[in-house]
Amino acid sequence: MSIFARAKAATGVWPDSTAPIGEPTFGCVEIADAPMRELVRVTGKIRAIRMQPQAGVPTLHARIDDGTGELTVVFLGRRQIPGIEVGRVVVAEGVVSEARIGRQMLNPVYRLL
Amino acid sequence: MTATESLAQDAAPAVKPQLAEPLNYRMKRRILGPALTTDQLEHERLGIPTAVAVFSSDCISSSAYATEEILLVLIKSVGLFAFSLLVPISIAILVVLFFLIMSYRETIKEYPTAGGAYMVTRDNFGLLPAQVAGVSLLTDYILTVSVSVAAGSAALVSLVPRLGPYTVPLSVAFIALIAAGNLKGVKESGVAFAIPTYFFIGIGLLVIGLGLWKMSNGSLHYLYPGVQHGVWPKGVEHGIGLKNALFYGAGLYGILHAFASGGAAVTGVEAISNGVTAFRKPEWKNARKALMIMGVTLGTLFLGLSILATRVHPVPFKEGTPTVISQIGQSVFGGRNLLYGALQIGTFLILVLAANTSFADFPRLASFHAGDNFMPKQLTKRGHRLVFSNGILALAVASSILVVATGAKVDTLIPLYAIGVFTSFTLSQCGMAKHHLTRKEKGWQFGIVVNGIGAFLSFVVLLVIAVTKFVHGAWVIMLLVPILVALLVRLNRQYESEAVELEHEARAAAAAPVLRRHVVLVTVDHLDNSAARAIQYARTLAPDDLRAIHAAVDADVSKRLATDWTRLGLSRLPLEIVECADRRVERTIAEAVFREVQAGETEVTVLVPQRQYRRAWHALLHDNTSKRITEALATIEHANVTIVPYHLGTKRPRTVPTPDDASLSERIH
Repeated sequence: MSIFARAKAATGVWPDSTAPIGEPTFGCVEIADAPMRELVRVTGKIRAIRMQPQAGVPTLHARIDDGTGELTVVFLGRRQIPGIEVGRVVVAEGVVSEARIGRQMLNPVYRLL
Repeated sequence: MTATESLAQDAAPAVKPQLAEPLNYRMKRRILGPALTTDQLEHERLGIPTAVAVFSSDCISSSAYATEEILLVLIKSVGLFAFSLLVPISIAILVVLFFLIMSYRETIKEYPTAGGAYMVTRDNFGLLPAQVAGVSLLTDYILTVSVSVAAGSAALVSLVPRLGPYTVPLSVAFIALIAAGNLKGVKESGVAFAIPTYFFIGIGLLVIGLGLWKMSNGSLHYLYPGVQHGVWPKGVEHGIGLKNALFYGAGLYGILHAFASGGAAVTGVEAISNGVTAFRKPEWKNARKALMIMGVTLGTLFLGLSILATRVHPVPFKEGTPTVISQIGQSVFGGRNLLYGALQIGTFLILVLAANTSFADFPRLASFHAGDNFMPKQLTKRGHRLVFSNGILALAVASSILVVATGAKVDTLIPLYAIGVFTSFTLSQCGMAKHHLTRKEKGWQFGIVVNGIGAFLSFVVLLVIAVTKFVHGAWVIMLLVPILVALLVRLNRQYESEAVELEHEARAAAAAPVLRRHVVLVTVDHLDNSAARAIQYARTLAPDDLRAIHAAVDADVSKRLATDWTRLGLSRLPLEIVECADRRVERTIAEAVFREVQAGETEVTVLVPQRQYRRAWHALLHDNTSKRITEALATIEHANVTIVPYHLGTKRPRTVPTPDDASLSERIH
């Protein structure tokens, strides 16, 4: 099953979904085309995670990749999130902004697939 | 303990404080002896007797086969009249030899800093003609080794016919032996090679003296009386003049071909001029003396053997053995007795050692080429014992290949031989003539006449060789030399462009502003002591961003690392776990690094923990991921690798675990 097909299947049970965002991927835009400073929903496989150990500012970075591009999803205030692991596929909804390297999405609403 | 050894050991404590030497170096020391220090270079100088042995064994040894090669060609084209033409042809070759020696006396005086043909040609005609001269000489040095060793083996086989089937392995073994001797250093090999050279000269002179005496009182006879008397025409005993022989149908071509084959006798004359710096001071005077000694010795031996051959009528056999010189010896000494054995052993030794001349010259000449950026730079490097080790090895390999390819047959190799030497003779003599013309030093008129005649004669001989030996194999060299020269020119262009690129605005580049950001990545597989070392080191650095990076090949390993990491509590050291689906750790790390440097404003340092094993075989038990990472990162600009060593087998594992260490020690116990 392709990554978008899995996202499509998942959007049906998206908890706070009122209307699908963007066509024709049933709510998910391609990361390469994701507009800035707008609420978007993206999906992708987690390629890398970066975890901050105890004494630092708790953040968890996850770099996701949907085949069109990459995006870093940043969870502030979290050290570890069960399921946010390398190799998992997630759908994330939030606002995309510029990061030092590539783009990032801060504190998204997410769903593990 | 010799003086050199004690010197090396006196110097030793200051240079190496407790730092262990690697295994291969310890083995090298065991085999080659202690390393010579660079200031010992001066002491590796040769006196005249040793120098004659080192530099002239090639030249003198050719008397062992030159007569045979002339006869081989002559008998084919003119039959038994060959024996009447032998002495005139030998004299013609000696005339060439005489002028070459006179010319080289000039060269040695004008160019006492060595280099011979290469340096002379470079000085007067520029780099490209010098490459031609040099490459021709180099190919000839390779051939010298092959021919001498093959001829030496033939001499041995003449003495012990049972060794016949082992000619090729014998020859290769001798090459290896000589190469090993040369790797140990010039001086030792010089002494070792002096004895056989003088032994051969002595026994050769004995053969000639005794032979001539026997000839004068009429007691020297044909070796194969029954065979030959039948086919000889009337009046043969009184000898046939040159004119008659020509009349009898000896084509001029055949004679020229024989002359060309005998020209091999002259090869090696240039050896001394290439090695003037190896002489004791005053170098050029000593070199000139050695040159004269060499020329007179060669002339005497060669002419003497040729004269004896006209009386003995030795037969050059197709198989190459028994050799002509051995047949002469057999006849002179009246059978296969002790003196005959001594002659054979002497011949064998000098031929094998003649190869040594090439081993002295080839590496030096190659180092000149390399110094001018026309050959691989490795050839300029002096090795453990102050010799050009790489040049020695290259020569040994090339000549071994040649020996194997030709089956160690002297007459297959001879047509390839001499053409290169005469090319370089011609070029260097022309160069000398030009040198006299431009410099007009004291007595330049004499010099220009000598070098002019030398150049002309070499050129004529070169033409004769090229024409008469072309179909027999000279074409190989005539094809090979231009190809090699083209190759060297290509090499040179590469070196030059590299040099230009490396030098271009290097000072400005050193002072240019540095990149804005510095990121340090510590590669971690799991949290062990080698990783701990790298983390400790990383904490001493002050980059803009510092993190550990782990390629997730095995999900369990990654999970355990993540757990260990959260317990560490290092505030400045986040852990990044990167998917590594194709299990190529080095590629994953390289991609992560590339991501950082891509924008062109970041300098990345990658710390690679590397376990150092106490025994070589310990390393075989592990895959060298750290080495592969290092190699992969070398291709990325602004990716800088630091290896953090962890020495195994130097510390005992801790037995009391600290709380932080809990998960680690759980796994150990």
